[in-house]
Amino acid sequence: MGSIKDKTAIMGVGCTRFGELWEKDAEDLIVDAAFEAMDDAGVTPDDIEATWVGNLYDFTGLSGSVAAEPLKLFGKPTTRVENFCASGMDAFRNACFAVASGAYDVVMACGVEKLMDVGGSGLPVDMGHPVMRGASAPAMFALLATRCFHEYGWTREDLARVAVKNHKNGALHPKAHFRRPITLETAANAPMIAWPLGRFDSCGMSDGAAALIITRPEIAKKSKHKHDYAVTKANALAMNSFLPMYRASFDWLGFPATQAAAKQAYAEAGITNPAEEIDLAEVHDCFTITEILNIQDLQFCERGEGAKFVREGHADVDGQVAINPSGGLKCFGHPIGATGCRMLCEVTKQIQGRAEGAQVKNARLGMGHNLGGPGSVSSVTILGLPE
Amino acid sequence: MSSTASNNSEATGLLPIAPFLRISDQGEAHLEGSRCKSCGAVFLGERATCSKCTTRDQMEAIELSNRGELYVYSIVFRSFPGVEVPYVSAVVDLEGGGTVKGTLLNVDPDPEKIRMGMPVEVIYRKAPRKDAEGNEYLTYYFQPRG
Ligand SMILES: [Zn+2]
Repeated sequence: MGSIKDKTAIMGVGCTRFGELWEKDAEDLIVDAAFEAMDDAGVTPDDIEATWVGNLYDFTGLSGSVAAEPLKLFGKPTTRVENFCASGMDAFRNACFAVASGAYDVVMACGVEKLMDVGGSGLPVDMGHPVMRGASAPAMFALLATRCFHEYGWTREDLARVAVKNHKNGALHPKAHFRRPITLETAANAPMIAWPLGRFDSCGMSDGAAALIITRPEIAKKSKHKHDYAVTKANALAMNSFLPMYRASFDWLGFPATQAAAKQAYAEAGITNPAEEIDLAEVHDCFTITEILNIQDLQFCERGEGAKFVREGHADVDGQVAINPSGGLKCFGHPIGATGCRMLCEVTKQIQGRAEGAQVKNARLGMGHNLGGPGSVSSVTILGLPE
Repeated sequence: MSSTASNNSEATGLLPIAPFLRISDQGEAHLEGSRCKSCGAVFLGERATCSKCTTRDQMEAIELSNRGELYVYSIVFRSFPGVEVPYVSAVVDLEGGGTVKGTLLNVDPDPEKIRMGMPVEVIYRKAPRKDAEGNEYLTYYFQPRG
């Protein structure tokens, strides 16, 4: 099997502020993100040869027009990518392979979600059933938390530490949705959503968009960021069952999709000791328990040691692997289709040493990770400096 | 036993809430599964291909047990409009195979009172909601087993 390693480069990145952006619609957001990315790259819409856009909840029938209409990318290919919470990162992955094939020189990957316009205080779940309402996302992810409490002796306080860390980081990022630090007591004593997940264990509902301009290294070498462009070290995606609650083999102690995507990514990037080699990771902390399990599934520590990893400060900005230096989904926000692209914008800027929030010192290798479904899909992207 | 039997008599005329809930002409309800004749794996519901060994057309329909053990749960305090809270959401491993998610009744919604591995049984009840056409449904729940 071949590899994407060092074959594609990030020319520029753009990301809107995340939050309850009532004054903007999805088209405004994608225009803001795309033009920031194009300005950063030093290109214009005419230079963009093809576009992939991640988008989940706009069930509008708009397809590729989600990006092509607001950006007026007519006469060129635009593809809408939908893959649960990995939609944005999968858009990036498809864009990278198109560039690596040699078919295009400059493409865009972007993602957008206008969750405030969907309505409701949580993600809408319509299973199409005449009377059953389906389970909310907190109710599903809470199952992993109770099983981990049982197996590993973790507590509500272990979960709360993740929220405290991500609020501390998010408070420093000018584009984050939630920008106030919280105490351990506040997080641990918050009202319950689904035991043992309380209000501060769940990410919020946010609007936002993000975009990346992708090219090949030989073109990046002559571009605006010729001295500090990032390259793709790995682009992995793995599926698992949509229905873990009906599978005896699912142990509710981790996500096989993440484990598989991580394995692919490390093989592709030639990484043998992830905790030593990776400097920062923007991981999918839709819930605090998910972040702890991601840390294990991504092999930053042994199974059962995830809570300890956070407790001992290894996930802090100055820790062994800075986990969610942006504030993560918890504080930066989680507009579904935008999230994967937002993470890769953050990782790129961290590697370039121009993070807008907390800067990880000497960041050279960074990861973006999504989990969707829950557990149905995971994507892992690793970005670094050129060889 | 008594709860199951008394409910089955009222099952007639109700629609099954899920395809894997089967109601006989006599109004007897059970959860249906399938077993792979090749490797013996058991799954909830009907399927044509074994997702353990991938053998095709070797799946036979079986009646799953109404007895099982609680594998994992959460206590849901906030849910969608119209859903009564708190309730206990549970994943149960059935005796002889089959894993199914449902609501655990007749326990206090208190983590101190719910034990991993506790014996439970499947019971059948009329669903609390009708559909848009006014049809009524038979659904399944779990409750602690004595
Ligand atoms: Zn089989």
